[in-house]
Amino acid sequence: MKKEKEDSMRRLHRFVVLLAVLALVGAACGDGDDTTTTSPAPGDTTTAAPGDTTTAAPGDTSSTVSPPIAVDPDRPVKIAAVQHALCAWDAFWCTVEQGISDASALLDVDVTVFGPDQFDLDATASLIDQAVAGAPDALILTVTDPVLFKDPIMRAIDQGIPVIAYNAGAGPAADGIPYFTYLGQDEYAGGFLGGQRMLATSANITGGVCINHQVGSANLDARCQGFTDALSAAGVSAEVLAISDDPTASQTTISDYRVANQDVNAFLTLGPNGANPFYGWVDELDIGRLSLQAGEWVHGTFDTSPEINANIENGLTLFGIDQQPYLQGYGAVMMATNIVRYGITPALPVTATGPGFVTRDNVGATADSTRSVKIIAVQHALCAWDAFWCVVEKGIEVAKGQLGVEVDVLGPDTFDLDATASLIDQAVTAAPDAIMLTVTDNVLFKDPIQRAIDAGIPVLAYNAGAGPDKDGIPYLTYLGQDEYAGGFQGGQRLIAVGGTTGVCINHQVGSSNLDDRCQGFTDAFTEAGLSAEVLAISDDPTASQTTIGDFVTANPDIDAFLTLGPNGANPFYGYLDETGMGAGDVIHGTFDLSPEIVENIKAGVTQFGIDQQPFLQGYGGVTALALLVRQNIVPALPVTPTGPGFVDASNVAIVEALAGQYR
Amino acid sequence: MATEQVVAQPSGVGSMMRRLFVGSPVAGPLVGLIVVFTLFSLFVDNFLTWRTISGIVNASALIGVVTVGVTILMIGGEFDLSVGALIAMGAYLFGQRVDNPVWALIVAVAVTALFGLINGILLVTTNIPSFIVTLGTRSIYRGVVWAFISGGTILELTEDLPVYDVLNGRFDLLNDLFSGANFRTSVIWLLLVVAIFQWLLYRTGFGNRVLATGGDLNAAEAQGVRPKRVKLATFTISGGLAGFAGVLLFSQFQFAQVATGAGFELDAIAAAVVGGALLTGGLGSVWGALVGVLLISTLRTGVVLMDLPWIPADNFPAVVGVAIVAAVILNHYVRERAV
Amino acid sequence: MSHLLEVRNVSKRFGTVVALNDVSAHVDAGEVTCILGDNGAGKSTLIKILSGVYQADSGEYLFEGKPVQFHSPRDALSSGIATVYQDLALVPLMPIWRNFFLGSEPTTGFWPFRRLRKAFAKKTARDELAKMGILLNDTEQRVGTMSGGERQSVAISRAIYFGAQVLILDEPTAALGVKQSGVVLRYVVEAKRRGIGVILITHNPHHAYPVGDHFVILRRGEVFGDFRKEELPLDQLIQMMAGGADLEKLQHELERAADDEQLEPAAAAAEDQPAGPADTSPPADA
Repeated sequence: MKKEKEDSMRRLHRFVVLLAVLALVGAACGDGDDTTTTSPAPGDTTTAAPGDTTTAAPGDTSSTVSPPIAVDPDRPVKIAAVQHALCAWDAFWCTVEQGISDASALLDVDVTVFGPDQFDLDATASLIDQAVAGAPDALILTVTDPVLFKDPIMRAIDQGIPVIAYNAGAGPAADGIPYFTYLGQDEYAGGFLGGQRMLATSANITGGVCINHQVGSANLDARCQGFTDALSAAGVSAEVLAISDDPTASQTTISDYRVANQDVNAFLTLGPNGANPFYGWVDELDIGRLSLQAGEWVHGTFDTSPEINANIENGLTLFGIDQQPYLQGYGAVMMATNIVRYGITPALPVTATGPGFVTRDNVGATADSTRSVKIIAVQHALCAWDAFWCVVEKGIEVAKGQLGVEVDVLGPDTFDLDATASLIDQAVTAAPDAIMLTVTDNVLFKDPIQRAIDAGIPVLAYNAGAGPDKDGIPYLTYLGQDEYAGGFQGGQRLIAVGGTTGVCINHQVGSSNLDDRCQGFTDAFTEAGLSAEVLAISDDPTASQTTIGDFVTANPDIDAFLTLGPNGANPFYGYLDETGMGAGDVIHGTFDLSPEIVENIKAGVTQFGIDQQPFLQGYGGVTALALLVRQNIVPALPVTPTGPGFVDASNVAIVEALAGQYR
Repeated sequence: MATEQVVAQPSGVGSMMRRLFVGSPVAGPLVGLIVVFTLFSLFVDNFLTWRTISGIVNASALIGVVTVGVTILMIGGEFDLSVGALIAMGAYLFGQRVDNPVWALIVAVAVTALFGLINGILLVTTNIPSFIVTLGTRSIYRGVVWAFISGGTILELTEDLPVYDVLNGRFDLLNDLFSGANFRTSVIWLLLVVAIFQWLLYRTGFGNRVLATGGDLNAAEAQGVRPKRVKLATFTISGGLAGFAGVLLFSQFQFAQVATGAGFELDAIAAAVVGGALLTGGLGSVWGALVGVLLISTLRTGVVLMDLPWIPADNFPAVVGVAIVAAVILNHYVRERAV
Repeated sequence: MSHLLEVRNVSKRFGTVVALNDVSAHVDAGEVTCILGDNGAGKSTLIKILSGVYQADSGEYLFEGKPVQFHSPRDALSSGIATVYQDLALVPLMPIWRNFFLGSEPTTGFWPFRRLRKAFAKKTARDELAKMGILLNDTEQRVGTMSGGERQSVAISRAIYFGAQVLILDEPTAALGVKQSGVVLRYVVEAKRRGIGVILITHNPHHAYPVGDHFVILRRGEVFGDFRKEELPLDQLIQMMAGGADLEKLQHELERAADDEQLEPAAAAAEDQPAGPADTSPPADA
C-alpha cells in the first residue's frame, strides 16, 4: 500500500516538474554541479551494505509491481573447486591457486580446493562427486576428460549448482556438457593478435612462418591458423613449418626452411619446444641476433620460460603469450560468485584468460596484491540523471569495495560529449594508475585518450565503444555486449527447444548492432541446417504488429522468433494477443529486458531475454584494471564481452529482484 | 433556355466522375487504393481475409490520427517535424495516469497541443519556415521527454486498466461478426477523428480559412483572414492529435520510451501526400489522409504477404517506398486529367 | 456638396522618396473616376492609402464628407470601401463559393457546432454572379480554372455583395486580352449603374475613356491633370498619358537613331527618360 502511495506521489511530483518545464521549455533539470561521485577512502574494503542501494533511481518508473527482494546479494557464498593437479606437487598450479585464494579473500567467499595427490583422472572424477556432496553454491573445475567427468558434472548441474570450467576444457559445446563457460586461453586469438603485433612493430614484414612442434594438436594448429590469417589479411604470405620433439633436428629444419624462403622474416613459435631450437638457430647465424634486435626480423612465442623472458628483455623476442593462469583461478571464482549473488552470467561459452602478452614493458614485473590503486572512470552519463547508469555505477562501487581500490567516477551534468572529452583530459591530469571510459565518440575522444595512453596510463573502454581496432584508438579492451554472439546463442537456444524456421524481427534494419544480432541468429540456423530470415519492422508498433502477422501468414513454417528489444517484443506480444497464442504456441527470445518481457519469461511465453549486463561493465572494468596494476594481468581480447547474459526461467526471479541495481 | 437541359445530360456517369475528381482531392488516392486492393485480392494468397483487412486497419490507427493533424497543417501551408516527439510525450503523460485516466487523457492531449502551439508561436513571431522551426523543436521536445523519462529508460506498466481497452483494446463486438477479424477499438477513434476534422476542414469557416491560408496567403489576408491565427490553430491541432496518437499507443502497449514515435513525422507527411494533400498547401482532405494511410498500410501488408523470393523480408520497406512514389504519380496524373 | 469619397492634398514619403505629393481626387456615387498614369506615377501608393493599407503623411481623407482614418484594409472594408487588387485576392485552388465568402463565412449554430451555411453560400454566389451577367453551372468550380475576366467578375461581385459603396479596381484589365477586357469594363458599368462609386486605376486610356466620368492623371507622384470627360477628348487624354513633350522628344530620338543606324544608345537614352522617383526635375508642361 505504501508503495502504491509512493508511486502516485512520484507521478504527481513529475507532473509538477513537467509544468515547470513547460514554463521554461527545455530548462535543464540537472541538480547541482557535483559530477564526481564520492568514493570511500582507499583501503576501505568492506563490501557495500545492502541498505545503501535501496534508494530509488531517478528513472525507476518501470516496475509498478515489484516482488519483495528474495535474494540477498551479500549472503555467504560457498564454492567448491576441483582440479586435476595441485600446487603441492605441480608448480604451475600455484599461480592458479593464488588467483583462487585472492578472489576468495577479496570477494569474501569461501572456496574449498579439491585435487588428487598425483595425476589421477578417476580420482579427480570422484572428487567432483565429493565436492557436490558438500552442497556448494557453485562448482568450478578442470574438465580434463570430458567423457570421464561428464556424469559427475551433470549430477551437479542437475542439482542446480552452477558450474564453470577453467584451465582444461574446450567449452560446453565441444565438451558436450552444459556448464556456463570455460576459462582458458583463446588459442586462435593468441596467434592472430600475435601476428598483428608483429605487423604493427615492423613495417617491412615480407613473409611469416608459424613453427609448430606438434602439428595435429588442435590447440597448436589453432594458434598457427590465427597467425597465418592475421598476416594474410595484411597481404603477407605465411606458412606453417612442422618441427619435431628433437631440438637439434628442429634447429636444422628451421635453418633449411629459412634458406629456401629468404623473404620470411616473421617467426612465431608455440612454446619453449619451438623457441629453444629457434634461439639455437639464431645464435648459429652471424646476423641472427642483429637482425632480430634491429627489427628486420621479428620473433614472438607462446608461453614464457626463463630463456624466453631473458630474450624479451634483450630485445630478441617481441613477446611471449601467457595464458594467465592466475586469471583462470581468479576469474572462475569471480564468475561463480556473480552468478550466485547477482544472477550475472558469463557472456560467452569460452572466456579468454589469454593471450596475455608479455613484452619488454612488463616482463619480470612482480605482483603486488596490496598495492594501492587509483582508477578514474569517465562516462558520458551518470546515475544522477540516467537510471541505466546506476547499474553500471553499482558495478563500479561493488568492485571498488571488494578490491579496496579508489575509483572516481566523472561524468557531465547532461549529455554533452565535448564536456565528457574534457573530463578525460581532467582525469589524465590527476595521474591515476588507470582510466576506464566510455568511447562514445571515437573521433572526438581519440586525442584525449591518446594523451592518456602516451602518459603511460592504461586505458580500457566500457559500455560505449567498438574495440580498439574499429575505434582506431589503442586502448586495452572494450567491455560490452557481443551482439553477434547474442544472436547466435539466442538462435541456438531456440533451436534447442524445437525451433526449425526462424525469423529475426529487426526494428532498425541498417543499424549495425542490430544487424549483427540478426546475422548471428540466421547463422545459427544455417549452421544447424535450418533456415531463418530477417523481417524489417518500423517504429510504429501497430503497423509492426500487422507486419509480423502478415509475415507469419505468408510463411506459416515460422516457429522461432527473435526480437531485438522492447520495440520488437511489444508488437510481437500484441500479435500473440491478437491471435490468442501464448505459452507453448511459439518459441520466442528477445534482446533486452522490460517489465513486460520479464512477465512473459515467467509465463513461459518467452524463452529468454538477453541482457548486456551493465553491472559487469562497471564491475569488470574496475576488476580488470586492478588486476592489471597489481597482478600484471592483461585483458586477453580487444573486446571483452559482458553480454549476452541470458535471463530465462531459471534466473528470472533473481534478475527481477535485483532489477535497477545489478541488472 | 426554354427547356431544362440539365435533366438531359448525356453522359451521366462520366460527368459524375468528373465532378468527383474536380471537387475532391481524395479521388486520386481512392482510385489507387481500390486498384491496389483489388490487385492484391486477385493475385496474393491470404490477402482477402478478415485477418488481413483488420490488420491493415489496425496498422493505420496511430499513423492515421497523426496524419490527420499533419494534413490539416499541410493544407494550411506548414510542416510539423516535431509530431514524433509529441507522440512520445503524449504516451508518457497518459502513462502517468495521476489516478484518474480521463484526467490523464486530457492532460496528455492538452500539453501536446500546447507544445504544438509553441511551434506555431515560434513560426509566426520569427517567420522562419516551419520546416526549420520544427526541425529544432523536434529535438527540443524529444529532450523534454527525455528529461521526464530520465534517460533512455522506458515507462512500462504491466497492469491493465479498463480505459486502455476502451481506447485501444480488442474490438470483440466487431470481431465476432467476421471470422478471423482482429479489429481494435482504435479504429473507432480513428474514424471519429477523421469525421470531426473533415467536418472542421470543409464545413466550418475555420476550415475555409485554413484552405485559403495554404492556397494563397496574401489573398486570404486581403480578404480579412488572419493567417497567423490560422497557423497557430493548425499547429495546436497537429500537436494535440500527435499526443492523442501517443495515448492510443500507450493504451495498446503500456509502453513509452524517449524514442517512441521516431520517424512518424515523415511517415505522416508521406501518407498525407499519398492522400492527395499538396506539399505546397491549399489542397487536400482529411478523408484523403485516411485513404493515404490505408493505401500505405495495404501496400505494406501486400508486399509482405506476396513473399517474393527476390524481396527479402528485411528490405520490403523499399518496395513500399517505390509503391508510394507510384501512388503519388498516379494521384498527380488523375488530378491533372480531371482539372 | 460633399463627394462620396475624397482625398485632399495627400502626400506620402518612403524615407527620402516622395511617392505622392499633394494629391487630390474624389469619386461620387454612380460615377467612375479613372486614375491614370505610367508605371511609378504613384497610382498604387494612392490606392493603398484609399484602401487603408497605408496612412497618408499629410492631407485629408473624407468619406461621405467626414474625415476618416483607416488603419487596415479591414477598417476600410467595413466602411464600404472595397478594393479589387490586380492579383484579385482569390485563392486559385478553392471553389468559387468558398472564395466568394472567404473571410466573411456565413455560419449557423453555436460554438463548437457552428458550421458553414454551404447551400446558402453556393446559392448566393451563383445569384450574385448572375446579377453581373455571369452564369455558372457549378460554384464548386475552382477559381484557378476560370478565365481572367471571370475571376474579375467574382472579385467585383463579391465586393458589391458585401456592401461596397466605393469599389477600387486596380488595373483590372492589365493582364487581359481585348475581349476579356471588354467583359470587365461591362462590370464596371454595371457597378456604376447600381450607384456605386468606382475608382478605376489603369494605364490604358482606351479602357478608361469609354467608362470613365472623370479622369485624374498622375505623373511622378503629382496630379498632372484632373478633368471631367466632357472637357477632354480621347486623343488629348492619350497625349497627356504618354507625356506630351516627352513623347515628341522620344519620337525625334527614334528617328535620329534609325538614320544613324545606332539604335542602342538612343534606346538606352529613351529608357532613362521615365526617371526614378529621385529625379526631382519639374514635370514638363503639356
